[in-house]
Amino acid sequence: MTLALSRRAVLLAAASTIATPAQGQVVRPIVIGQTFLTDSLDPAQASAGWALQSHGVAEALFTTDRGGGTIPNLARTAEREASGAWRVTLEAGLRFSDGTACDANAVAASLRRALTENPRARTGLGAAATIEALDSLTLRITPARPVGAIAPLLAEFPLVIHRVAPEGRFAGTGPWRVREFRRGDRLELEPNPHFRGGADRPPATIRRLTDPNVLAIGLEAGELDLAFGLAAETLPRLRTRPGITVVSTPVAYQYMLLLNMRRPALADARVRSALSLALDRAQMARALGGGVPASGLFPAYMPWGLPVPLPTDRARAGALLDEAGWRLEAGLRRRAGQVLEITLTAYPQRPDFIALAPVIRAQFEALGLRVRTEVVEAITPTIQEGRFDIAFWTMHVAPGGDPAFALEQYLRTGATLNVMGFSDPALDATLDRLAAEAEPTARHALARDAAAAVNAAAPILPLLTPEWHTGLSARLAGYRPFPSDYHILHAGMP
Amino acid sequence: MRAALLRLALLLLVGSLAAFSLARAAPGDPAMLALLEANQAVNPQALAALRASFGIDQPLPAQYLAWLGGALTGDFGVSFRTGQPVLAEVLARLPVSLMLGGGGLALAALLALAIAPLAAARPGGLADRLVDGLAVAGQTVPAFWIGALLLWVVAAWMGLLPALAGPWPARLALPLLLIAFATFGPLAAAAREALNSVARSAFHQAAMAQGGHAGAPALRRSGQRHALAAMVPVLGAEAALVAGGAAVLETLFGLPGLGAFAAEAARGRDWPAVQGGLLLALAICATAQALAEASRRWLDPRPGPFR
Repeated sequence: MTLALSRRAVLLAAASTIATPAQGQVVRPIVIGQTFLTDSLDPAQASAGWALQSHGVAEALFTTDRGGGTIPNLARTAEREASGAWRVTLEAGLRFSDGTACDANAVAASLRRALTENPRARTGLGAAATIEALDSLTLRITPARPVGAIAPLLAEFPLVIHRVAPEGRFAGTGPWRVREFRRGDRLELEPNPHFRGGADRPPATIRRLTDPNVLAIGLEAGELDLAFGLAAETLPRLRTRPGITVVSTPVAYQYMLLLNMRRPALADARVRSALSLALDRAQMARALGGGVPASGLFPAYMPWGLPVPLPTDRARAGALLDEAGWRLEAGLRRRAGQVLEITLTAYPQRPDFIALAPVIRAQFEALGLRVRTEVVEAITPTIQEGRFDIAFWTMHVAPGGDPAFALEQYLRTGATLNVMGFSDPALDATLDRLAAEAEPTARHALARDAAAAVNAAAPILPLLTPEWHTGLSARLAGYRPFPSDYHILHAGMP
Repeated sequence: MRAALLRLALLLLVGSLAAFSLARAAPGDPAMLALLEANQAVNPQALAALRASFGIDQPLPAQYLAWLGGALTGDFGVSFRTGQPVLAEVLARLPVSLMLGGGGLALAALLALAIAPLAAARPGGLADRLVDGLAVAGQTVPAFWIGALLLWVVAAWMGLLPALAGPWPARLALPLLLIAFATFGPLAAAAREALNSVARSAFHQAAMAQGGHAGAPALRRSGQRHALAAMVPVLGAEAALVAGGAAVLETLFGLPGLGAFAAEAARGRDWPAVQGGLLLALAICATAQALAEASRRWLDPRPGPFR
């Protein structure tokens, strides 16, 4: 009892406390443990805009909802003009956290500064984009090249809206504002009194803890109210602890296999389809202790995701290999005396892939393939230089809520990340239509068509929509973070 | 003195070339990694723009000379990952690493000085075996394993210490203990060896013959300077090992130190940060060695072994 009391006293003394003047009461900050922390308070530096958005400090004109689609945020609408420019209308009455007005002039200045200061900000709109304020609530944005939908580009993190105050401090529009920042260690936040949703939320401390197992210990010790990014192996232990709630959420970092179609065997669509049919994705999810079997390139929960998980059919897979000339002889698939042999490449930065490699190897071997597994330290140069047969990969398939993002990056003919060597004129034509289409429902339909075409051609084999795990103390038991790391702290904090 | 400074300058010059080469030895394009990690569009234009802003579109000799020239004026470049000046990043993290490494070594040295006389006075006794046991355990038990275990027991199970989100003393206590645990053995063994020499020495035997008290207190009194002189070179050598071990502990305990920063920089192919971190680590180790040597000479100015 004495121990428990003294520990509580130390915790209370340790935690930064903020008095609510109106009530005179002390509110203990909620303490969040997570593996990353902003490196700067300047949203235009490197990836700081993303981190500050995740920390609840900064916001973009548009954002993504829980389904992964783009929705208005600080902006109300974006309409394309005949010239190809976009007219963006802001919500009325917006203010920065320092109390100054967040009007069209301020937003234009913020966007221009991001484009000037941060090369990452130029990937969507282009370096030569022009931004002008038409009146206090309206902006005209002319991207450097024509875009079908500007909202997903304006939802990208480098374009979070901010103000540089004269003394060099930065003000955002999120539900919290920064009270103290200790680089690499912690961020102390207080409610933003000028937030459009009010300031009725507790102060917060974000602690950077890079080891997922330590996050679990912090939660068990009562030091953390929210632990984001728990390791799967800690979950059974945490679920038995009274007062701790574990929430597992599917996220858009789709797990997949990339197939090198420059390898003769994998150039045959029947072989690729057979490999897809040989995969038991439910077994993979069990092996990882979570995850949703994939239905295609996009998670099923997205508005343009395919609803039905990809099938497992070993008999059909065998028949396809027979048809392709790879006959089962003495337990191995052979054609003209040559064994159907592949190497499965994983990388240590994604421990899930190390765990999945033997599972997939067994599933392929059951089909009669000879499979070798390897782990490479740097996967990106390996796939860029074509030094792979089948490689594990993961990516966020729609970071700004744009269904065209992953398709354009990985599957358009000649795209930089099309390391598979895949080319399909019909898919390219679908992507052209998607690039020109502005209406969301039509864009979703086109994205579904494209995803179905990718499933049929199988240059990549989607595996799982992984789950991320968040632990919550009793104080935050009802809180639900978004299904990505974009909004770990959001205005719904109790 | 001038020769020592020249040696240090030469060491840092060679070190700068090694740091530059090592940073680039691992495969991977920093621009590509930066875009992929940020979920941004990867296309030739974006890659070219980012490479140009990083300055890695220049030939390697030009990159090296530009970096070296900047480093001579205190400008170590800008981190690819954070967009912040490397020097500021490193200096922000240096105090934590120094506090952790220096504090852990100091604690280990104090414990070694306290226990070594007991071990030397009674060979085969409890203290002697403790020194042997900890020398083996400290060097063989992985820091991350024992650190995680200790953290769970002290913070989660017993609830004794807010080791993750509490005030600095609470957060530093366990990693300091772990560094002391890892370095105590070699230090105590060196001190014990020196005290054994003292115990066999003519002056100690003479003191005993004149009616002096035997045992640990006498050894502590007459051999403290010898023990210290024996420990100092070990401290210098352990400083380099501590720098490596501290990276693991900094990561485990979420401490914003230099080791964890350098490890993350290496993973993200953040070449300027890797180069800056390596060069600073080299400078710190060289300084520690030089200080150790100077201290040893001060403690025992005679040439050759202790007598």
